[in-house]
Amino acid sequence: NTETIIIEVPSYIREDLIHRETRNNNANSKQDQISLAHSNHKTQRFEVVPNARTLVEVLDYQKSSKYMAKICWSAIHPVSIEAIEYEFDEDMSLLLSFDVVQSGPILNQKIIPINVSVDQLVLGIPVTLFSVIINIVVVLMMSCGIIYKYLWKEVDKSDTKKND
Amino acid sequence: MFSVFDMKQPPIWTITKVFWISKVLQYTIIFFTPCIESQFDTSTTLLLDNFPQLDQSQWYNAKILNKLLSWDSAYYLKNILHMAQTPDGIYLPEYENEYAFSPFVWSSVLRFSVKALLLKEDTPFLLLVLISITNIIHYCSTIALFYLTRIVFQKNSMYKYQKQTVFRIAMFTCLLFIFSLSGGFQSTFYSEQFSTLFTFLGMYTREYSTKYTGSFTITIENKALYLLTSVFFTVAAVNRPNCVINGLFFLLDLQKFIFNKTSQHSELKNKLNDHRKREALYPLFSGCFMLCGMVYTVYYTPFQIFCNTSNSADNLPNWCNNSLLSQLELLKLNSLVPTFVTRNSLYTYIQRRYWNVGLLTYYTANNIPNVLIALPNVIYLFMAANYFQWDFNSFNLHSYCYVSFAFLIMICGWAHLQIINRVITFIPLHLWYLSSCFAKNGNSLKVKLYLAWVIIWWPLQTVLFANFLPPA
Repeated sequence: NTETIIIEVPSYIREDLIHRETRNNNANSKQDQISLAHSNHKTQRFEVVPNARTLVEVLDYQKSSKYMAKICWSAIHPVSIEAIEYEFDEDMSLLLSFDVVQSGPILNQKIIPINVSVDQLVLGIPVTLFSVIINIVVVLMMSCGIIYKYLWKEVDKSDTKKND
Repeated sequence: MFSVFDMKQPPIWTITKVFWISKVLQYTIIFFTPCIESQFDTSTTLLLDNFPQLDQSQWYNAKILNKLLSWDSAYYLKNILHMAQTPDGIYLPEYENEYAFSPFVWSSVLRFSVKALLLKEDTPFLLLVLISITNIIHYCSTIALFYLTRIVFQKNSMYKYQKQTVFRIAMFTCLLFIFSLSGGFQSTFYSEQFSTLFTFLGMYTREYSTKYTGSFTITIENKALYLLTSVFFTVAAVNRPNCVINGLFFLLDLQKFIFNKTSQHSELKNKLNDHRKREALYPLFSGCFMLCGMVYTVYYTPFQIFCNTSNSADNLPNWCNNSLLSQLELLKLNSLVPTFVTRNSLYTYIQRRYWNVGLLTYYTANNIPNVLIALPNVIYLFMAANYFQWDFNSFNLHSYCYVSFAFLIMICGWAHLQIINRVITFIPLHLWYLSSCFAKNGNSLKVKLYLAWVIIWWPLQTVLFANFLPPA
């Protein structure tokens, strides 16, 4: 229930065009917005209309950075997310766009809740995944310790006995 | 480490200890995984918002149980909480794809269990109750597997095992079953455990009620228990349609009655043959009972719901119009098949449409990692079926070998291969193979390699599941 796209922010963007405070006067803010102010990741919930193009404007991103945009929806709503794209328009708005398409039966809901997340990539890994990776590494190290103590050493012992 | 093989301890007590220690360990691992807001797939928060009756203020929900609402759990939860009642009093899921998640058996069992416990659906203990019921069923399956293993190896006609060896095989099988490669899927309310329990009960009653004296000589000692087997197998199959391959047991038993070679003396031969013809009716009746149960749940019920409406034929789902009758007209067999038996069942249609399940459709480059994690179970089950069929030469295990081969063909041909790790739980043959290798040689490399993979995969899969990461 997740679709992703990698966003590359070029280095030539003017600082005043990517922050909410400086944009509000001149920006068209009709579409939904997600702001990364004081953070390198953000998840925000939106109510979207199925079978229509959805636009989300990303604000407060950093120059020369990479982000992973992630759109999640619950499996209890039979929809799929298709044609995810991003673009910087003429006034350097970062616009994320995607289709929410019904993937089977006619939907009973007129609006579907979705989560849009924008995570900065550090060493090519989304920052929110670091805690998960640490979790996995700790568990794997414990497993390897158990294998070494109770399986590998047991094999060693039995081999030594055979040689004796 | 191996004090679990101490015969002085009652086996139930040992299994109980190991089982609940494994559960404490598994839920401790889940406790230490990041919270649901940090999961890779953040949709669990959306799911929970959809069900405000689930009280989120309880620490055990936030720290453990909410993390178990990943993947298919969302469908099961929705079926339990959201199925709408029709004027006929039947509860139906909202969307057609939700029919793949056992709405009439497992979801209903959980629904009625919650009601039987006099709990309301808005109790903060709801997830705790659902997960506890599944764990109790898993525990009962482990006990059933112990006695099944013991009876299978005790009654073995070719190899007279000592009591101690049978005990070691049965206990080791239970250990492997508790710490199975199913991993995180065991920690939540998936439907597999229910079918596994009923399959093991069916296998036990079949073993208890039959006697083998040769490769083609089988007698039914307790007819009522043999018939009860078909009830158990039917419950398992209507819950998880892949358990329909348990029907092979009846087919193989029937074959043994038909092709039985008895005494050479003609008078005695005739008498015995008459008796065996009567006995052949039991597997025949059991198989037919199972077939009727399957046809009722897989064909008749969905046809009544989706196809028997006042809608015009154009508005009906494709599979409704695709009757098997039209396929059989050429063969003049159409009068034998009722109209509700369609070429594709609702289940097959859903699997194909929503999960792209079909013959060899799974084998694409991006699925290579999933194929790799499925390989240990595929290889060990193949080795087990091969060993017990040809090398071990034990008659009562041959039926299990055919069922295992059929299961492998089904999984490798049509399914998403990695789901073998969670749906294999109803087949004990690979566990018996590893246990008999262990009983012969405690340092068997084959066993150690499998154990090493279990020690890595069981906690790792639990972490992946709790973080809403693949494989699903």
